[in-house]
Amino acid sequence: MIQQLSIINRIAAALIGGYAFTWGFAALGIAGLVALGVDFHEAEMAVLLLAFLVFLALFLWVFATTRVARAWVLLGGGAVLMITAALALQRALLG
Amino acid sequence: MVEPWIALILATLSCFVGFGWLALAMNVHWQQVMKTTSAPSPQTRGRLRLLGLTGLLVAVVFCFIADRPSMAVLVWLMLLAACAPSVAILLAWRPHLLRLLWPGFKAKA
Amino acid sequence: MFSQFRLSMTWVHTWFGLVMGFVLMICFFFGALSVFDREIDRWAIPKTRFEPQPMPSFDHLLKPVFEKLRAHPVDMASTAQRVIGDLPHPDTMPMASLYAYTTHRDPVLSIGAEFSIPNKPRNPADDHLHVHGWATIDPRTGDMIPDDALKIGSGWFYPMHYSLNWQWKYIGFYIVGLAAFVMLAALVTGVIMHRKIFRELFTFRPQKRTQRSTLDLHNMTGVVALPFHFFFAFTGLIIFAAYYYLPVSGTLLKPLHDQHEILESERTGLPHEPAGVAAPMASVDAMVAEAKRRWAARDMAGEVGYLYADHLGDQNGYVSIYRAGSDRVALVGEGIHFKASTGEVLREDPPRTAVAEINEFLTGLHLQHFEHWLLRWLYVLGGLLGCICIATGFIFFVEKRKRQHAKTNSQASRLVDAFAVTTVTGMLIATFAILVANRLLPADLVGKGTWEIRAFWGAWLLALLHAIWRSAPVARAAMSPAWREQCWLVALLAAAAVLLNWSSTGDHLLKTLFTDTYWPVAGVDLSLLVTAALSVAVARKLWRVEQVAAQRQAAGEGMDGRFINAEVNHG
Repeated sequence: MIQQLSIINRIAAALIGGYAFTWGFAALGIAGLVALGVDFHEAEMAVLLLAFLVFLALFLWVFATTRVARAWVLLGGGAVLMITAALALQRALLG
Repeated sequence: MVEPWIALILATLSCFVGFGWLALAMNVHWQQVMKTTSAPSPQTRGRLRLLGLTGLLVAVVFCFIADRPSMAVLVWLMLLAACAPSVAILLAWRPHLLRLLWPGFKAKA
Repeated sequence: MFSQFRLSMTWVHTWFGLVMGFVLMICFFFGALSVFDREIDRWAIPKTRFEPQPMPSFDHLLKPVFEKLRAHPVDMASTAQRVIGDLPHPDTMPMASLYAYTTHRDPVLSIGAEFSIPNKPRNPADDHLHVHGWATIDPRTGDMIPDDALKIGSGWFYPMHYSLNWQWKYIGFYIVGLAAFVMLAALVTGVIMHRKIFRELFTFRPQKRTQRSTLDLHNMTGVVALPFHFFFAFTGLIIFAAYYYLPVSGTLLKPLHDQHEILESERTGLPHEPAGVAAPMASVDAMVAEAKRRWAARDMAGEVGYLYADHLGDQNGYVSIYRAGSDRVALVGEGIHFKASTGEVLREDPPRTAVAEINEFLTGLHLQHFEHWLLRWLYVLGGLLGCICIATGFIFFVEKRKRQHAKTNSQASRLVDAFAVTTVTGMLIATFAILVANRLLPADLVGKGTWEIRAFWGAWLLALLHAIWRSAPVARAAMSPAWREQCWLVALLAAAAVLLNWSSTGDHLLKTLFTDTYWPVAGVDLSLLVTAALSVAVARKLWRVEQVAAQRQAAGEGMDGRFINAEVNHG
């Protein structure tokens, strides 16, 4: 049972944690490039090309790493930080 | 200039024989084709590898003759995907046919 | 849990590959069929078996057709749920925008329009306040092809591969997206596991026992088309990224996105909103002629691929004409935009930036509007290699574990094998069943498309039930006869489809190949016959294998002539 839960935990970290981080990466990436003067659609295209590769790397890392708890913290925390920063940037750019 | 379809046929053939040579450069396939237990000599192996890579490069050239660069790259990559398994299937079922790629070899033992 | 890197990557490859593999079979197989989707449409709708046509005259042919176009009942129903109050009668809805779309392979033309409605949305954030209408027309006459005629290629097989034809809350799109992502992971982990990718590139030992030869084939089909598999999964994700998989610009960054849209329309001179002042439309044919002249002047003469007109009947109206990308990888492009009321050029799309060029190339290599028949067939081969890779993965999984499972009385191998049968031979059965149904049902049957779809799912469900029922031997570490039995049915259905095409349309192979050549139909018929022949060959081989295995079992040996369970080492 514990093994099953541990596997579910790892899969969740890889898929959900990884996706959340990727979302943050995409949001901050696009907002950041726009802040630097890049056209919005250009920024979106460029960032989305990279985003899936970032997700892939993170996904595999979660399975290779020894401590899943650390993965959760890094991925979740990173997601929250990046999304917050992206929203702040957006407000600054529009305000 | 060359008609595109002729260039593409040549590209396919070039790719196929290129892979055939590269396969022969490997011990296990050399032994399969030549019906011998010995490995190819280092000289032979080197020559086969060179021929093989040349075959693949010549295929690239023909692909670029046939189409614009962006399409040529795709065609070449897909020809690799088609020719490599063709060589593998030939090795599995009719290995002696690949003797044609390195005629003049006589088994010593 | 994972003591070593390679072990953890092997775990990911095995288990994610197994679970999502069933979805990926669908993506790769129907994706392969989609390369020739329009040709399959021709087979399914005999009325459209004529040569591909260029975009017809707007002024003389399309304008009256658009005047007759109305909002589609299906879209009326779904829009009615999103707005307050009743929708007005379709005849009274003004047309706000229209499009016409064709490629070098299309005899028929796809058209559509958006109709304005006065209703307010239930959700204030909802800004899609239009009802859509669409139709397929014969560009030579303007006649509409009936909606009931399901385009089995472009309207069933094609959306199958990116959405599983499961529209409820777009869940099919998301499942396919996850499958595509898992494909990337499976490729990377596969390479990590299989260290000798070049040394074993040509290794295929069919005479060895099933586990070994299956693994050889799995490795080979995975490696030789590795760029293809990777790029198709990757570009598939990219194509839908902004809408479904990472819709950041439609959610989190929507304000920024909307501001950009307004700035963009100011910059390009293409108005975002109508002016509210009526104005007639100038000659679109003259605009098309001007667009073609400009393309030729830039050394890229071409045909119209996509025509779009916005803010119809309004002073702010504009017409956008895009060039069909038949001669290169990037899709439609080189848009030229005209002021609708006067026909003057508002804007010529500038050459693309590096990022946009890369994006167009990547999406273009997946969506294949180019005219290159060898490359198309090579794409089909790539798709089939992907199917073989996944199917051999399933077979290897079962072969490796079934002896163990037989000893512990587990049903796991049996179930996996049954699902494998369903997604390999079962999928072929469903595919040919819909074609057979298409030829059996009369052309004027109301709801013909719906019946064909029922035949598809019904046949697949029966294949699943048959597979589960016949797979009991797998639980005893033997082979399921379902593979062989379904192979025979595949052959039967494929041959039947060819014969029914002949009997119902008179277009037999001698005619479509020689006397009145028509490659789309000949191609489909030939492919069906080749599949039938291969299925028969496989069925007979499986029968021989089953006989040998039965003799061995009677003599007291193991399944592969050995007495001991030998584990196969991964290469």
